[in-house]
Order: sequence, then C-alpha cells, then structure tokens
Amino acid sequence: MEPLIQMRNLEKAFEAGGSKFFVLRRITLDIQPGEFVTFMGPSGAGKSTLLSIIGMLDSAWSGEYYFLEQPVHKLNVKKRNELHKANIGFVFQSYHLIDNLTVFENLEIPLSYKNVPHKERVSLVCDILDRFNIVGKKDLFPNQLSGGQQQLVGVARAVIQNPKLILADEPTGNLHSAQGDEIMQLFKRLNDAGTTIIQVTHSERNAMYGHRIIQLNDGWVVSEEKAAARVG
Amino acid sequence: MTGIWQDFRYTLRALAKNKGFASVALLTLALGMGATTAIFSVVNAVLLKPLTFAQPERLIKLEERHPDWASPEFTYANFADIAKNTRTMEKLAAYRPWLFTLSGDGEPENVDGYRVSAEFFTVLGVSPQLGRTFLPEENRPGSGDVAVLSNGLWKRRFGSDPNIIGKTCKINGNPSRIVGVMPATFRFPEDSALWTPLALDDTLLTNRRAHLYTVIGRVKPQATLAQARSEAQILAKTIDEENKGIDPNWTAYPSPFQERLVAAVRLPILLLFCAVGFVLLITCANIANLLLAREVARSKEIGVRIALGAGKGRILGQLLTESIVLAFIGSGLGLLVANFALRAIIQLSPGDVPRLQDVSIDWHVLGFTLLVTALAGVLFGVAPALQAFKVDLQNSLRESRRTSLGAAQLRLRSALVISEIALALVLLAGTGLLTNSFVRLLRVPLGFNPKNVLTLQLFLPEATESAADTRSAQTLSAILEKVRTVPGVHFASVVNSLPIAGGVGTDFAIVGRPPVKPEDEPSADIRVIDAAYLRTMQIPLLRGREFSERDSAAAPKAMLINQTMADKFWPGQDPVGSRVTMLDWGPPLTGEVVGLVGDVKPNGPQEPVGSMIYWPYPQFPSLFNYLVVRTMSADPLSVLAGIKGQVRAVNPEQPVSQIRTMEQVLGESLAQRRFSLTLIAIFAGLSVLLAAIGVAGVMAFLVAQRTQEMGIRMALGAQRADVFGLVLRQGMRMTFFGLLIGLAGAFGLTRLLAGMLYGVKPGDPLTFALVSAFLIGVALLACWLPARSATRVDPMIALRYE
Repeated sequence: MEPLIQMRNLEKAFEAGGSKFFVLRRITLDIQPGEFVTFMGPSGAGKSTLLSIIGMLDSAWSGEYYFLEQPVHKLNVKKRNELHKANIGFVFQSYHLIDNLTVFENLEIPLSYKNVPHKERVSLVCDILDRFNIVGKKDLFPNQLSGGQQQLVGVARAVIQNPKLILADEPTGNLHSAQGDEIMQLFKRLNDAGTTIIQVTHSERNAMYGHRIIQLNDGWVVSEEKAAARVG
Repeated sequence: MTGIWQDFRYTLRALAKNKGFASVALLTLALGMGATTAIFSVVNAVLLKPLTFAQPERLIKLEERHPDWASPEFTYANFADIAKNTRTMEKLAAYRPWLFTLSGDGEPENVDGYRVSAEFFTVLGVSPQLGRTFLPEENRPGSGDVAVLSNGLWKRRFGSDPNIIGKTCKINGNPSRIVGVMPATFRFPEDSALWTPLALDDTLLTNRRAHLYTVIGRVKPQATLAQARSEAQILAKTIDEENKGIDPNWTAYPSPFQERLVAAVRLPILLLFCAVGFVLLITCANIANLLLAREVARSKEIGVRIALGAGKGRILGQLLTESIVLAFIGSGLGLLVANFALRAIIQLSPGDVPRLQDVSIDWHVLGFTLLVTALAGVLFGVAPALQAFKVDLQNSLRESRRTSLGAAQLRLRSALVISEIALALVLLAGTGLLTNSFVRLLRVPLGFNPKNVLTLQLFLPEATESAADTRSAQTLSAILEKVRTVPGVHFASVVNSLPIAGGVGTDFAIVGRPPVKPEDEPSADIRVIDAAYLRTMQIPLLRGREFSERDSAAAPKAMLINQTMADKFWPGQDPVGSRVTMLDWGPPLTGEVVGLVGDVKPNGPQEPVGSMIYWPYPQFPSLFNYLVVRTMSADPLSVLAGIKGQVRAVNPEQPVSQIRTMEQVLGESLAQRRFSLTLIAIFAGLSVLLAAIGVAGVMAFLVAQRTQEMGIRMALGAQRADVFGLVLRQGMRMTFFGLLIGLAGAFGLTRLLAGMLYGVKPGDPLTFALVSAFLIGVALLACWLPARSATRVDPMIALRYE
C-alpha cells in the first residue's frame, strides 16, 4: 500500500538579519493510511509547524511532500486547497469554534465550503449530531458549552466531511483529564474505523493512544518509536 | 446564493452581539450617508431635476450681453424686434417683477408679482386651473385691467372662491378683473402671487436703453440651440445697426433655461457636494479602520475558516457581505438623518435658492443612495478583506491570548487615518477661507450706520409708471411729516432702494465735456432720496450742501454725487457746480451737482463702490420707496406700531411691507454666504470629529498591541512621561503626514472657492496655519486618552500577558 503522506528532505526556514533560522530540517517521513501518529517534543521543536505543513496551511517550505501520491510541492494554491478540503480535518487545542455560530452552524461550515447542497448538509449535520450525542446542543452557542463539549463539537466538525486524515494540535490541552480521555477515546474509535490521525501533544498518556511517536527537537526528527514499545 | 444568505444572517447576528462596534459604525455611517443623501437631494432638486414645464429641454432664457456690463435684462423694443423676426424660436415672452397692492376687501396688503407679456404662460406651456391667461390685446394700456392669481393667493385671500373669474378686486388702486387662477403646481417665478399684463405705453415700447425685462422662450422643435444662438446674434446685430448709437455693441444670447435659472447657486451647491463627498470618504476610512480593529479579534475565526476549507473568494465574499450589510443599515439610518437635515437646510437657506422648496428624498435620491451605499460598502470593506488574507494561520490558530495582525495592518490603519486627516484639513481650509471672507465682509465699511434703523417698503398705489406723478411726492411728504412725530423716531427719510440692496442705474454725460461714443458712456447707480436721508443713514456730506425743501419739483434740478464718482470724473477738482445729464430714463434729465457725499456700498458689502447719483424725490419721483427710520431706541421695531398708525392716518389703504431692520437687510445680503459657510462648517466639523475618532482608534490599537513593550520599557526604568511621549510622538507623526498631504490638496482645491472669497486668496498662509494648528490640537486631544492609558500599564501584568 502506498503511504498517505511522504516527505523527503522537507525544510522550513526564516531569513532574519541576513541569517537563516531553520524551523524544520531535512524532514523525511512516511505515514501510512490508518496510522495514528503522535508528534512530541519541547516547545519550539517544530511540531505545530510540521502539522500546518501537512495540513497545507503553510506553503513556505522546500523539499518534497506527497499526499495520496500527489506532489503537494508542485501543486498551485487552488489545487492544494482542493486537496486539503477533500481530505483533511483539523482539531485545535482551543477548539476554535466560531463564536457567533451555533453548534449546528459550526458543523455546517466545512460542508458549505465544499459546496455541499443545503439538504445534504442538514442531513450530514443531523447525522453527526446524533453520532456524537449532541443533538440537544445544536442551537447553543460555543460560550454556552463546557470545554469538553466544545472540543467534542470541534472533533465532530473535523469528522463531518469524512476526511482521510485528522490533524489534532494539542486536542486535550485545555481539558481536564476525564474530558481528555473521552476525546482520545473518540480519536481511537475514529482511527479504528480507518481514519488516519496525526496529533501533536506533550502528554505521554495521550501518545499511548497512537501507534507511532515521532520526536522532534530544534526542527530535526530525533527519534521514532512504536507507542507500544514505550509502554514496554 | 445560500452562502450569501448565510453570510447575511451571520452579519446581522454578529452586529447584534457586538453592540459597541455596531453602534459606533452605524452612527458614523448614518451621519456620513445622511449628509450625503441630504446634499444630493438638494443637487437633485435644484440642479438635476427637469423643470416641471412641458418639454423643458426646449425652454431658453434670452439674455442681452454687453461688452462692459453684466446685466442680462432686455429692453422691450429689442425683445419685440427679436420676437417678431425669429425663425428658430417659436415664442418669446418678457416679464419683470412688480409690487402689487391689494385693497378693497380685507386688509390692504402688498404682494410680490410679475408683469408679463401675453405669451408668458404659453411659452411655459401651462394652463390655468380656472379661467384663462392673457390675450395679446391686453398687453396695451387701456385695454382693461386684468389679473391672473396664483393658487396660493386665491386660497388665502379669496377663500378658494370657485366663482372668482370675472370678479374685480382693487390692485394698485384700480379695479381689476380676475381672469384666471393658476394651478398649485405652478410657481414661477417662485415668489409670484399675481400676474398682470405688461400694458406698456409708447415710451417703454420703443425704449432701447431701459433694460428691465427678463426674456424666456422656446426653441422650435426642428431647430437647435446652436441655430438659435447664431440667429439671435444676427438679429441683435441688425437691430444694433438700425438703431445706431443708442446702445451699441450688444448681442443676444439664448441659453438653456434651467441652466440659467440655477447659475448663481450651481457653484456653491457643487462645492457642498464635494465637501460632503469628503465627509463620506472620511466616513469610509473610519469604518475601514473599525473593521480592521475588529479583524484583530477575528483573526482566529478567519484562520479557522481557512483551515476548514474556505477559499479566498468565499472569505472575501463574506467580509464584503458584512461591510455591505453594515453600509445598508447605516444608510437606512442615514435616510432618517437626511430627512432631518433637509428640513434644517430649508430652514437655513436664504430663500433665493431656486426650487429648494421642492427638495425631497425621491426615487432618484434613493437610487443614488443605494449606489453610493454599495460602493461605500465595497470601499470600506475591501481593505480589511484583503488584509484578512495576510493572517498568519499558524499564529492565529495557536493557543495565544494575544492576537496580532502585525505591522502591515498598522501601516494600513495609519494610512487610513493619514488620509482622514488630509481630507479633514482640506475641508477645514475651505471653511477657514470662507469664515475669513465672512468676517472681512462683516467689517467692510458700508459708508452708513446700519444700527437702530428700521426700513419699510412703501408702494404708492395710485402712482402710474409713465407719469412722474407729483401726487406720489406729496403723499411721501405727508407720510414723512407724520412719521417724524412718532415718539422714539430720531430721523425719518425715504429712498427708492436701500443701501447694499441693489437698485437701478443709468448712463450719464457730463455737460460741457466732449461727447463720448455711446459705447463709452459712463454709468452710475441712482438713489432717489429726501433732504434728511444723509442724516438718517449717517452718510457724511464731504462738500457742498444736502438737499433741502427748496429742491422742489419746480426748482432747478439738483443732484449729489459720491466720492468715487468725483475722484473718477473730477480728479483733483471740485465737482460742485458741474452739470450731469442722466440718459436712460425717458428724456435726458440734467441736474447740477450741489454736493459730494461719502461712498456707500450699493450692492452688498462684497461689491465694489461705483459712481452714484442722488436725486431729490420731488424732482424724480419713484414708484418703489423705502421708509428708513433712525430710532432713539436700540430696538428699531419698537416704533413700528406708531409708524404704521401714522401711515394709515395719511392713507388708510396704504400698506407697508418688507418690515426689516437695516441690520436684517445687511444679514440677508450675506445670507447665501452664511448658508454655504454654515453647511461647509458643519461638514468640516463632522470630518474633524471623524478624523479624531480615527486617530484615537489607531492609537488605542497601537497601545494595545504594544502593551507588553510598554511593560518591558517601564520595567527597564522608563518613566510614565517617557511612555506618554512615545505614544504622543507616534500619533503626531501620523498627524503631520496627514497635514502635509492635506495642505498640498488644499492649495489645489481651495482655488475652486476663489469666486466665493472676499479679501483673502485661496492659498492664504495665515488661514492654512490656523486650521493646521487647530487640527494638531484636535489630534493631540485624540492621542491623549490612549497615551494616558499607556502610562497606566502595570509592568508585572503586561509581562505576564502572553
């Protein structure tokens, strides 16, 4: 099976005061479909930057990046956006629900950006509300929900378009441990159902939900290990 | 479509949630759009709307033009010749303003009206509501006195009597038959309550020097204006050659009627429109600034939307929908503001702005407002929308309480504020120049003392135009004698035209000097006065004597002249004893200069003083007279009742009208300027306020952005004054950039005001310095609050603020 993601010598750097500061250095990695990968490392290691590049939110880098065998490094902005819209869902640490929209509307947003017809959108949103057991919250605004509930909606929003890949940046960072566990269980179930998941976390406990842990430091991939090996 | 609808709903919801932003933005827009709508309503009603007459595009005004003389009025003989011989104009009509005294049933009253040729109503293409208009034979005197009433007069004085046609009423002392009533929609000329035929006797029918008549006409359907112009020139040349030497080198020039009707107010109205355009631009800049400020708070939302798959077009569409929705709600409120503003404009207006009474917010205005609203929505929405794409996605999606759009946004916001300051400075400079002119005009020496003077118009009903009726002089003498006995009256006099209020003039010749070519004949204004006039108005006698009782109708003709005339025609000599012949009013009339008086402004404070001849009223009676009364009390109106009583004692049917103090007359002569100045000053004030809000907003934004920096500086030992100065310097740098650009713009644009200025040049350095200093003061105030809040930053809190 071809990898979902292939990176070859990917680098990102800033020019400042005539010098070049590297954020990511010679990243070479493969991620298979159905994998649950965790990026770990100290602050400033480049984890979130790498996640943004994988999510195609950042285009200022060099090297090769293939997503579903498509050369992202050669695609124009429009094609990258198409690829991103069709295949990737995001979950953020601070949920990033849109304050002025209800739960229902927040869930509808990614579908509207994919030009899904209104009837189909309503049907998909109802379906996801039901799957996540949040039908009763559909007319509430984000500030009327607890942190755990907001992140539940955040995950539901990432899942609603049935992405091949979910990128989660510290998804439980703002939650207490019981809520965090609930969200991680949810990721596990989604992964078991076939969705590839990449998370950034500082939490060893959360890392254990995945298959593989990639350690970054100063922009370099410094180690890779199976999560199970760490338990061992 | 669903997307737009969604964006629309979200916008309304966001506005409802963000009440602070919504109220500031909507208030700003309501003021800007309201002012724009109101002024466009004026432009529409006065300059753009076609006249309500049939086929208004064919209506023309025919003017006489002279190489050295601005008056466009026609002589009757020239008018009649052109009307008879034209092939390109199907009809021509002549008219002149007249004062009518209505008596008989009810209180005697003076009403303004017009004496018109029989074709007047036909040219305008209007039919009466009742009865008929005038017949050609009624143009001649003795064919029976007839009148057509305006709808307003018919309703007010005659109780809308449906059987009014054929009834008689006393007009100027003569029984006149009412032959028609015009519909309520017909108000032309605007102040006209009554129309009577010209009924000219032979003297005026053949006179080619008395320029008294306004001429209007209609170009034939198959002819063009250019053809009419060529023909009018040829006809004028022919008439000139046939009547050699009488009034040489004149020509006739037809222009579109509507264009001439509004010619005097076109420039001030267009300038107001420009001014309000500036206010609208400043409004847009301010709203753009507010949207940019809000965008900082929304950068996360935009980042999330992009992360969720929103393309640039969709984000742009959403942000523009938001700004356009905002613009439309603001415009809706602006219509309410415009409604109030229009009422205020009509109240403030000097009354001589044609068609201003018809101003309303009609479909044309609404269409304009819709268009401007959409454009404004795009204008103030596009910069923030484009700026939104500069969001640093990684930063905005990261967990951070501090959001920043960085230096690019600050540059954009500063540029917007700089443009606001520049635009405000241009408006302020214009206001400054107009104010400077106005103050100078108020200080112009008028040549007389307008304080404590009451003026009343006296039109003597039994007088006739052609006869120098000695009865009118006798009546005036009797009235003066009685009025002088009223307690509180210091002096009382008569004059045919009030000083500074315009009047009639004549060409003249100096007896004993070599004859000059007719086209080189000098001209002078004429005032007809009584013996006490100089003392009443406190006009100094410089040489010779005043008029006295001995200057009666039978005595040798005497005249006074002013200083300017003496300097021009008797430089270094004494004019007293010289003889001057007045050429234009019937047979030449020669008088001896018996005295020399100080100059008096004849046509308003701004007009230069020319030659002036004063006649004693018994020797040159006038139909239109003003009673001028200098009172002992500071309130000249306190003697009004007594004066009216004495006038009635002489003639119970003698009305008095246009009762004003001389200071009111002076005020009215400046009313047009005051009106323009007031409106431009309001717009300038509004623009300064908006610019100040802009400066304060950007500085507050800047302080919020640099809170941590301030904290670090203070932790490193900066004093509060250092931080205060830091913020102030940044604000003032922006202000000075704006001032520089604004000054450059003002130097160019205030040249358009040249025609409205008095005693000051468009680029007046003092005015520019003063308005710049004022704007700097306002900007300092606007920076003061954000600067003060910067000094209150607690270094410990600021440093934890990440």
